Amino acid sequence: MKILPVSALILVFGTVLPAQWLKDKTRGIPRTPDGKPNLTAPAPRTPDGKPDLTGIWEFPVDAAIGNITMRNIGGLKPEEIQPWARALVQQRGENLSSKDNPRFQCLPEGPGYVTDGGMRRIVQTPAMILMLNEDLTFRQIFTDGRALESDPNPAWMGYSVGHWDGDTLVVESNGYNARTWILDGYPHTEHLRITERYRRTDLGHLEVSVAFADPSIYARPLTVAITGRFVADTELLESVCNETEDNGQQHWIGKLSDTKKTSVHLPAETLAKSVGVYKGQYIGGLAPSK
Amino acid sequence: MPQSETAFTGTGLNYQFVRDANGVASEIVEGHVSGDYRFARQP
Repeated sequence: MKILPVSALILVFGTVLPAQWLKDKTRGIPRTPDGKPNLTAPAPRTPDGKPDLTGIWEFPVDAAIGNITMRNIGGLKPEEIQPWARALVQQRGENLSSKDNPRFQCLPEGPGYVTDGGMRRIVQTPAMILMLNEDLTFRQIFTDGRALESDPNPAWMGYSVGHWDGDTLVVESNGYNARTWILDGYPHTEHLRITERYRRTDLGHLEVSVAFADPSIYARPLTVAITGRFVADTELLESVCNETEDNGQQHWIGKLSDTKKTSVHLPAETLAKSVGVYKGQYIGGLAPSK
Repeated sequence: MPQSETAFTGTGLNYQFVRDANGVASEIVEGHVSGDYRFARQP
């Protein structure tokens, strides 16, 4: 493909090892007569009757790409965001929305994992729920009745506790250091508090609503809703960012404004020639993306 | 942002439309930091 002059390109960023256990099927799940996972079967439950979220889940990547300065997250108006934070978002956008991203500095993403696309494994036990990420980070969500501390020591992955509200798992988190981003570009302080609500509607689908509250920056919580898809018959792959030269930083070249300088005007009829539905595999996803 | 009739840049992403002999887009290649991803146009 043609390499464009202002581009953050495009070599393999993380090192991904080949998959293992390719022929092993996920055990103990309902299947259709042709052997595929029955994604519309009822959600499994634990012996104590709670929904069981255990499994590998794939989340959409849509929220993780694109120009952060053009996003409308949770309907927040510009005046509802502190001026310094708006300026920082603009600066990050100018840096291709990516160059300064902790992910591409090979640092833990902290609250970013809550809405990240890609796959993660959930392991549910009576007293704790674990979320395992492909970059070898993890979240611990205590469901043993403890409360969040009021003055936690800031940490990359924060601290999380969970409880059940009927069939919905409610997770409250705090204690993040301020070096990470939320929603792939927005800043937060150590006062960030996250509320997540997880509802497994059937075997194959996990509805997640997230509210990021940081009153020192945002007048209202930033909210986002995503749906995870249960993926069977596969395993997580480990992805280690800093195995590549310079952590991949050399591929982020130029500024967003440089791209504008070289842009051309295209009439609508020219654009119309390319309008259609395109289908293929996307970033490790098992199902075709459109 | 269009850079030509077939090449577009985003923030950290490129899109290249591949045209067939008749000049009709048949494929799109997304350039992503993790590699190139090809999507075939559906009939």
